[in-house]
Amino acid sequence: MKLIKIVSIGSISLLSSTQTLAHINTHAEVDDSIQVRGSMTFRTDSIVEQNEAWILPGFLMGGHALPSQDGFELDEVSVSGAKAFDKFRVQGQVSRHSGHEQIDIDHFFITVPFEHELQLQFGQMPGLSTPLMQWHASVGAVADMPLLTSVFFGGHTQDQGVRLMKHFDSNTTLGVEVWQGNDWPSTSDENPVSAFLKQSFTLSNISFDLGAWYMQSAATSRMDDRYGDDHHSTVTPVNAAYMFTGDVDTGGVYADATTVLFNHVLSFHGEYIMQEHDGVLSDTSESSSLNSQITGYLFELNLNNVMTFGYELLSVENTFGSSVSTTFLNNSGLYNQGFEPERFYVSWQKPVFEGLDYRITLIQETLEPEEDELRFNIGATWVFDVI
Amino acid sequence: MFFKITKCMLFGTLLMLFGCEKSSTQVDVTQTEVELRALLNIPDHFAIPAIPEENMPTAAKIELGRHLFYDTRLSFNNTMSCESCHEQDKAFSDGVARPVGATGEQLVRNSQGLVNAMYHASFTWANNGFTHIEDQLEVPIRADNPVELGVTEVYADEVLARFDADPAYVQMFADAFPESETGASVNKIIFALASFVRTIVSGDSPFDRFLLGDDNALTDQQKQGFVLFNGEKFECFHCHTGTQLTTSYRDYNTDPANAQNQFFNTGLYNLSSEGDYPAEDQGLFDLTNNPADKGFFRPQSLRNVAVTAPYMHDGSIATLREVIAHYARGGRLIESGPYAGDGRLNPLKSDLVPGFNATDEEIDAVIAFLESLTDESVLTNPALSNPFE
Repeated sequence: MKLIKIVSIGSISLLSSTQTLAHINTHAEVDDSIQVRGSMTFRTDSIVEQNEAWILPGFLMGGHALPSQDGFELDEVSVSGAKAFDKFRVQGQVSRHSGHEQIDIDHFFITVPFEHELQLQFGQMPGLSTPLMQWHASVGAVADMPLLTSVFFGGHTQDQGVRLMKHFDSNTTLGVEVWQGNDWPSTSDENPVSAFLKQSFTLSNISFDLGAWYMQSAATSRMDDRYGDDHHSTVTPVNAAYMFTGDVDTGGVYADATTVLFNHVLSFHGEYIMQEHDGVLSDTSESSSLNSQITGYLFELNLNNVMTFGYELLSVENTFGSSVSTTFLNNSGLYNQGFEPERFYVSWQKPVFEGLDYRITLIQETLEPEEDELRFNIGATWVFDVI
Repeated sequence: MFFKITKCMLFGTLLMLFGCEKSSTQVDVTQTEVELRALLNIPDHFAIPAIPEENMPTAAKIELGRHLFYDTRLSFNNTMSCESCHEQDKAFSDGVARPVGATGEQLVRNSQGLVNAMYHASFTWANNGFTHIEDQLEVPIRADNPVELGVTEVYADEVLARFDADPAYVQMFADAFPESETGASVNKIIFALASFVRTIVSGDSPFDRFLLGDDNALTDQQKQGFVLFNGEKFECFHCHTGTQLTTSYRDYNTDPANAQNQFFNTGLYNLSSEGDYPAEDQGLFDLTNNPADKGFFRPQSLRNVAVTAPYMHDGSIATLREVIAHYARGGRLIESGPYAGDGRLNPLKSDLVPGFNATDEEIDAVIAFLESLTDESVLTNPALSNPFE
């Protein structure tokens, strides 16, 4: 009986590693590998029209948080690999994402293990504070970028930095990261610092992964440059000339729980993030102090690694300083009285054959006040291990 | 319905556990802001201007300033007042290229309109040291080369005595400066005039109404002009941006260290290989003596620009159409005379004046947009008019 229980939990852990929000393997024992991964989706509707900028009223946005478009879209093609050497290992990933013309280096970093379960990592890395930092269309339950990933991290993180991690035992990890600051919400050379604590344990027949994290960053003259340079350059957001300078603190907690109930694998992911921008917002002439507190929730419930119910909710409290003009306030895109963007989705994902899944998603979302949208996605994801 | 029920069942409880705030946007409005908006008649779509703490406006100061503005006793020879060069129906400019002072001597610069002057980052056409109206007022009152009102050291006591001898002014000075027991002084005059000038607010033009959401406030032609104005072909917006349509902008929230105190050489003249302007006025260079500052002048606000002709720092261009032709050419060509030269080739000319090809229709549209900046109310507002009439 005990053996069955262990095997069950082991299976659950294996299953949960490939569903919903995937976690990158940061343990030193990773095998040499080369993996090709991708996602392609047909969407019935766009989040915004091709020639419109995507702005969630009230929210500072930027980075790579571009909206998905209707029709067929190759969301992502990536090749990742890992190679272990005597005293270190190398991991890397290149990819091409929709909205980008060129191939990006998602990450390329070196891991050096030390005694006492200490690990040093450096290079271009994904943040490990929350699984939302590592989101990719090919591994999420939905091909569309989570609202939380868009708003809090500007899409995804691929910054250069150094990370020190300590595995206290097989269940507890503490990490500290120092970054260059190239990714939203920071700007270059601001050197954001983050810390995270992860705890895994099993209670009864439920396995838990809990995490808490905090990131302190700052921005100088940060603009919403999503539509400049290599992106959709014909689109100009109404607040394109606005710049934020100040501190950006972000923190969150999340919980994963997985169990077997009546021979069905049931897993849950819940996440809460809060971000505070505190500084000065300016345009070509006017400026104002701004305190923006953004709160986000994400919940996913997955059945048998096939069916996922998800829900996201964002809210914001913006406070401008005295003496600001309504012109400046309205054009900032930050005026929001009572509107909370939300997205609810049901996703169905099953293998066609090993390595290739089809994925069908129904999305109901409210991304503009009083504008409910119902969208439908159908597509495929693939993961092939070359070695 | 399916979605709503499922959503509530699955996540409602958890949301309640975490708590959920409603989105909001608020402005920390202070009592001072409320009072200033009421006193200076500042519309909500304008920011509060930067006002020096030592001269916060009061109704009494404004009333005194209004009287002084229109009173010829403020010139050494009783011939001129501020109004002589700043007429209300011309948005407080004067309609001449270069006015004359109280001695009859012609000044070297065009009279700027005073509408919304409180938002300028700097004052006069080219002085990066004048950051408040109070600084600028020293020039027309005290300057002796050239003389404007001519209240120099020699005549100051005589001029002040006129006000001290007038019981109405004695009372107004006492009301405006209750903490002072002395009579009129040049500094009090400057403070009162500055307070009055801060009430010359223009915020009710068709363009303002358009900014506030009235889509019918502008004609289709004016909207086309607005687009061209803000496009990379005409490039007007690089120097004429924001609610006051100038990069020379400052308000209460502006960090003085970051104020956009900009000056540009627009290629109006080119008298030498070094980009000289006429010797009598080389702009910022005359102040800094830095050769790179030759021909550098402050971009004027375009509010009410249709009624402030002639244009440029010396009033040397008569119409808006000719101004646009100057920018379209990328600099002015003067073929003969003492100022002959091709401004387009001025080595100090701003990169923002490269020239462009525009059709008559496009130019008409931009002019129509500029005309939409005229606020008839400020041209006729009784509170800003001559109190002696």
